[in-house]
Amino acid sequence: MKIEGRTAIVSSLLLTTSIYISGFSIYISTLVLVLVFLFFPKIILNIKKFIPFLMFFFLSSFILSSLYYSIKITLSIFAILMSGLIVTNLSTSEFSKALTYFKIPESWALSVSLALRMLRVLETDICRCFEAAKLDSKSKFETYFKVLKAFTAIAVLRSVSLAEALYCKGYSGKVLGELRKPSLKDVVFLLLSIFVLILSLLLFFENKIYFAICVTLKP
Amino acid sequence: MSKIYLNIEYKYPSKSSSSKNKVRLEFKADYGEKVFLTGRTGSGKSTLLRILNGLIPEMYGGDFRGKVSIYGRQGNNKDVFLITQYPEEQIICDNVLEEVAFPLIQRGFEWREAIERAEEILTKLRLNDLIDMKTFELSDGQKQAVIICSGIVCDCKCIAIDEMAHLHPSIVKEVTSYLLKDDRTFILSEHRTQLSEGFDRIFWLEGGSLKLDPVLDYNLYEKKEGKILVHARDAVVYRCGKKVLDCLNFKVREGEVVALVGVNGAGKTSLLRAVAGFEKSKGIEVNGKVGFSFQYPSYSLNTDRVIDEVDIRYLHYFNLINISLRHPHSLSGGEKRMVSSLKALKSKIVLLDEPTAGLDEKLRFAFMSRIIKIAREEGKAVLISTHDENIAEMCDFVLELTPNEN
Repeated sequence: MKIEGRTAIVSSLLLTTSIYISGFSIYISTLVLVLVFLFFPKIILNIKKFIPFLMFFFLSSFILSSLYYSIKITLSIFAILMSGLIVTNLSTSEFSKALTYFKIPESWALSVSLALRMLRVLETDICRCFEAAKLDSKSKFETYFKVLKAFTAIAVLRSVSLAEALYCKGYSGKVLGELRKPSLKDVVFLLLSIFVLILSLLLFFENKIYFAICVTLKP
Repeated sequence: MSKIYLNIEYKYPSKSSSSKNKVRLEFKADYGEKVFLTGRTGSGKSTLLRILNGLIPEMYGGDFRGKVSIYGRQGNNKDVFLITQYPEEQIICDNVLEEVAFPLIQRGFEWREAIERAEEILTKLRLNDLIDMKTFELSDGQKQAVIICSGIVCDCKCIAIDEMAHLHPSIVKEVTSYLLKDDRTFILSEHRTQLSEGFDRIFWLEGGSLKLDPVLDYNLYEKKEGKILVHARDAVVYRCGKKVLDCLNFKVREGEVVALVGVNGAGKTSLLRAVAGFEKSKGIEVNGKVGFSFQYPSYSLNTDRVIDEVDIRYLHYFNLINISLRHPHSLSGGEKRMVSSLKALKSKIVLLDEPTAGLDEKLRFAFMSRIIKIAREEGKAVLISTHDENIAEMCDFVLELTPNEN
């Protein structure tokens, strides 16, 4: 059973905020990752998509500072990405309906959820472009160049065709779907997310208090 | 009840100022009339349907002159539900039921009622297998069927379908017989005139931008026992981790053309993708460079000019030299499909996924006869997925695929 829409949105926000508040703490980031992988094991399959991006963060922070800092920042970025992906796990209808529950106007909610779905469509498109480009490229560089060219054109065509499809279907900005009753799993996940937030707040204030004491006691 | 009437002159915004690119259209239909709209590729059938539902000039702009009256109003999407050519581009939701219910929700229906009506129509058209499926799991044909259901379920006055080229003939029959019995106006734009049975009127549109003479001697070549280029031995094909085809046995030699046929979702595209190495498979041996033409042709077009995509000999041979300097993504649907197929012809093993969808009868025959001739002369192995019986008959052998029940 999937996590319910409202729970997923709130938990995603809580977990992301926790990482920021804790000052990208390694402990909080690890806790967030453990939580995400426990409740959304399939999300782990997305890791390989982010490897180049994470490598970039790791190497640049390693060059500019220390190994500890680069591990810390890469882990935090990865945890933020994973907690954000919780939302992409929702269906278009559930996501938009959950947004309207939080008083987001219907047309906005539908637009956001359609944009979210478009990400998946574009992901498929880029894979197809890769397949096509690989067949007639001599080098990796040529493949990437061809993918970029085809994908740019396709992305523009996609946006036009989405607008056409919405027009044809009489788009009036009404969201579809209905809200599910949160299950026990939802409640547990939400409570654990709140717990992570409390921990990160404690960490935040502990740092503040420690800093204040240091300043006060300084001769 | 008022009727549909249009008498217009229209020019798309991107076209040059020459009068050649202007489309003149005059069309009438009474309420409840069933009109079979046909004509050559590029004759303006899609343009006419877009005008009826208001996409032109609402979204396309351009130079629009004349009068349009759709049951007393301008062209609009409330009265006319248009199902366009590319199913891939019309899918909006994640689930089949939501997709069918989407237009109803937009028209103010309650969620429960919309879902019930969606389920009902899918069952009526014997598409209940699709009810619990995700839209990304569907084949292009199944997507088209789902979009047609979303049109039928709406309470609009007219349903306009711009080709059902991706649908298996059995589903086409089911859909047309349902809509022919319906009270509403039904306009079907199609090249396959054999589908016009039961319609009140056939409306032929003159003109056409793509013309090609057939090659009649395409099959006069002596068949030689060429090298085996594709060999499947008890092959198994997977799609999204699921087994879609198994126990497949066939050989394709140099110079042979093979047609893949079967119902929507049978695994035609999956088999082509497996031969190309895009999909997981077992027992398929490929000896040679592979060229692939996707159902959505834009994927394989990745240069700035058509001439950079396709061998110039083929452009001459297929009478496409006039578009050789154009950007591939600026071409019409039919032209893109042809260019994408010709690009695949550069390779020894040519995989064409529904290459003739959207082409008129003459053009289809001319195109296929040329492909077969090239395959024979240049020793290429060609695999084509199609729903067109006439195209399948032209090939050396036909491989009928049935969906894996497990």
